[in-house]
Amino acid sequence: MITERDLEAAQAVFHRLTASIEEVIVGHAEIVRAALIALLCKGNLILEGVPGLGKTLLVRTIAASLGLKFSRIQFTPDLMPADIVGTDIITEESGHRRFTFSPGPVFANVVLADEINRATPKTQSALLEAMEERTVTVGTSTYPLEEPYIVLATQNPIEMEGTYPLPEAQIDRFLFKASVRFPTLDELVEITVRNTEGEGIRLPDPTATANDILTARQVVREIPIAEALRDYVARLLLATHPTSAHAPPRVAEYVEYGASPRAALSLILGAKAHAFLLGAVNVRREDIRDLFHAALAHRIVLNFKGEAEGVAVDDLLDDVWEHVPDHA
Amino acid sequence: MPFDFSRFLLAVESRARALRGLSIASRAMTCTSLAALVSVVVIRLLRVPFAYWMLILLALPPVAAALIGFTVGRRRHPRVSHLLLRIDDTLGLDAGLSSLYELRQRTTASVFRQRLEREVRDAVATWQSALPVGRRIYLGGFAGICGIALAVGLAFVPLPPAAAFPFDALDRVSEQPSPDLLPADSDSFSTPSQDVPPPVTIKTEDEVAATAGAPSLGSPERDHTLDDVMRDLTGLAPDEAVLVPVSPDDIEELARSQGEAMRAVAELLESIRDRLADAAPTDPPQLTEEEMEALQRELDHGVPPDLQQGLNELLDPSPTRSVEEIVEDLIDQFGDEEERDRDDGGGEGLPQSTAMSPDQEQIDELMDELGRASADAEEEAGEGTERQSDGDGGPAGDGDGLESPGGPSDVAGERGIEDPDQLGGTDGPGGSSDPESEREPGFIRETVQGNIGAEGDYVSEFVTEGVPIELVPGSGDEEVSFRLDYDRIVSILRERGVPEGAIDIVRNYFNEITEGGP
Repeated sequence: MITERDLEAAQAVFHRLTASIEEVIVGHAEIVRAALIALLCKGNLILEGVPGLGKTLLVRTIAASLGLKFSRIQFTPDLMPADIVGTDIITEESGHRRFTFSPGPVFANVVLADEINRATPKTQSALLEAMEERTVTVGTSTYPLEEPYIVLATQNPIEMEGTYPLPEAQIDRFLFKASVRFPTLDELVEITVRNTEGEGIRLPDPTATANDILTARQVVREIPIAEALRDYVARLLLATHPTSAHAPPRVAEYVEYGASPRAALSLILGAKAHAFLLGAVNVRREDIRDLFHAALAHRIVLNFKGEAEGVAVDDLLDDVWEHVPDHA
Repeated sequence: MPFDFSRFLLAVESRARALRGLSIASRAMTCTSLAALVSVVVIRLLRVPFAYWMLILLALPPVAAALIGFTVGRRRHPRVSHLLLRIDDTLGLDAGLSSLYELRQRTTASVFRQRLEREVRDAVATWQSALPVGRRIYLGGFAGICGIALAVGLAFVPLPPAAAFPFDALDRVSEQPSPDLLPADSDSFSTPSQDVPPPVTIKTEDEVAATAGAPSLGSPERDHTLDDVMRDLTGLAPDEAVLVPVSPDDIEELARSQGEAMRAVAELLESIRDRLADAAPTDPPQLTEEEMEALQRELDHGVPPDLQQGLNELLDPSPTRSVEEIVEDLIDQFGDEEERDRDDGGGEGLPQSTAMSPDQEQIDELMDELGRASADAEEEAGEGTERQSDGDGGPAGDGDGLESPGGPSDVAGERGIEDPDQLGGTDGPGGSSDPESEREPGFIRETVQGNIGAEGDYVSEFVTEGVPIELVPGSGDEEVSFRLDYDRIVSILRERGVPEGAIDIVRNYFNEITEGGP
């Protein structure tokens, strides 16, 4: 049972964690929050943005602040699954040879899958089990991953030549998809200052432990959400399906597949974590609203007409939000 | 004071149930009151007799529906979480109440509950504003009450004239004979058809005797409905009347009683005249109370309208003329009336409407109608002289497409000139609504030699089928002419029950076209 002290301690930890990350990362507060929410929800995060926006630095900073084991995988077309999950190798010990499992980079607490869409689908799929079940199976052996565990993937929306878009099954396993926007003028100036003067960027010291994260996860799951808001989330989700009677006209016209039930879980859990990070003790409607795009955008598949006409999924989600009434 | 969330929930649920009940009640009341309003409108338009106790039946369903709706609405469990979220949104509580309700549903204690209670405690004081009595409830209730009031008010509103309603016009079309075939005074030619049921009139039992002496309808105005005619006859609205079948025997009985009443009045007038003549010159010439009562009694029993005026003048306490003059005039009028009755129907008490002889103008109009109808049949007429070979007015069809009318009465009925409605105010099928009237008229056209002009020009004449005519072969190039046996015609018509007035019409017709010649 969560006590008042647990609640206050967990909130204090994440306040410190947020502050230490923001000392390194200029701007991108919503990205930092999304990453922490994914961490609190046992989820994974995919960051999408052009090169040079600080995606890798962000992931490294989060890992450093948490004091967790960090690994980075640079996805390339020739990357093989064994390069990620590890493989059995022959070792000799006391004159005896035997196979010993050599863990891959996936065995860490924070895994950065950089430019994940450059690897082949076969290699991308090597992450599926790790992301969802938090286990890795090699041969006949299954190895658990250490908690807290989070995969932070990045992908480049341009330079699509030679890339392999993530299959729907894999992209659905990411709790959120966050678009890393280009920094504003002030943020850009600040970035230049921090990187070109003094000692340059220095990763923060750890401000939280794995136990703090696990405790905070328990607190988040205890945060209440009203039944009416659950119902609201379900109605929002159904409205993204083109065949649903609640779907807005543009969704019915341009969407091939709507969001999966996993999206509802992501939205509700994420809303709880969002409320926790903001110091609230219950889920509010604005928690759902703030995470609505991040939780659903990557789960909606446009049809040919939508793709041909360049329809933005975020616009469709705005339609859904406006279309679905607050109260049943 | 600690925040009692359970009591708060009960209050919210109770108010929500009440609002739900009111909502359903207002809708049910609106619908049923509209139904009641429509019912009243239909009842009034159809002129169904309306009793005031029916107002209770009108008001009862909306009230009952409202009560049932309220009960049903209250029985339905509201979704408390949604209600609380609505209160949260209204009061700006960030889903605090609904989240608190969620925590209350859990069995385990939670650290968030106390914090939430602290946050919402002060804000819920005005929670009722989040669940207001909606405008729809007010509008529904208002509409329901207005519907009931309108329905009740409509029940008291007098009906507009029947002619204002289009379907009355349709009724007139079906009730009245075809205007093309209907003479101006069609009731003079009317006689009960063999095929139609006994005539039925709309009269109260008390008014039967009075209406027997009512004036003839004369030419019915085409924008008058049967109801209007009956109202003129009886002085009663249709919904105040009862259906009384009247047979010809009843009519004769009524006419006989009216005749006796008139004779009684005549005798009373004569006695008054004699008394006034014997009275001393110094006595003022005025009626005694007994005489006035007797006259008033006879007046109430019903006398012809032209005599009513004189009787009223006599009963007037300050007449413009002397009593002797009025009495003399009345006696003369009664004499004229009796003589007219003898001329029309032998004074056998036939209703005035059926016993009246048509005047010459009416005969002319009928002749025009007959001429037009016969002209239509002219092309189809074959050898007409062969059709009268049997001379008994029976079936005479010889394959020329013309129907045998079977007699004058049938002819009249088939031509639609018989309308039982016009016969003493009777009601029943007839006229143009009878499909029989669509058949060919029972007249054929013959070319015969008349006596018009010095040389005896050939004229086209129309001979009623079945009328016995005697063919007279011409000499040389002259065509065949015919001769009519009037006595035989009259005997045939009487055998067939044609009224005397109608027989006169036939005679006048032939007199007219032959100018008294053969």
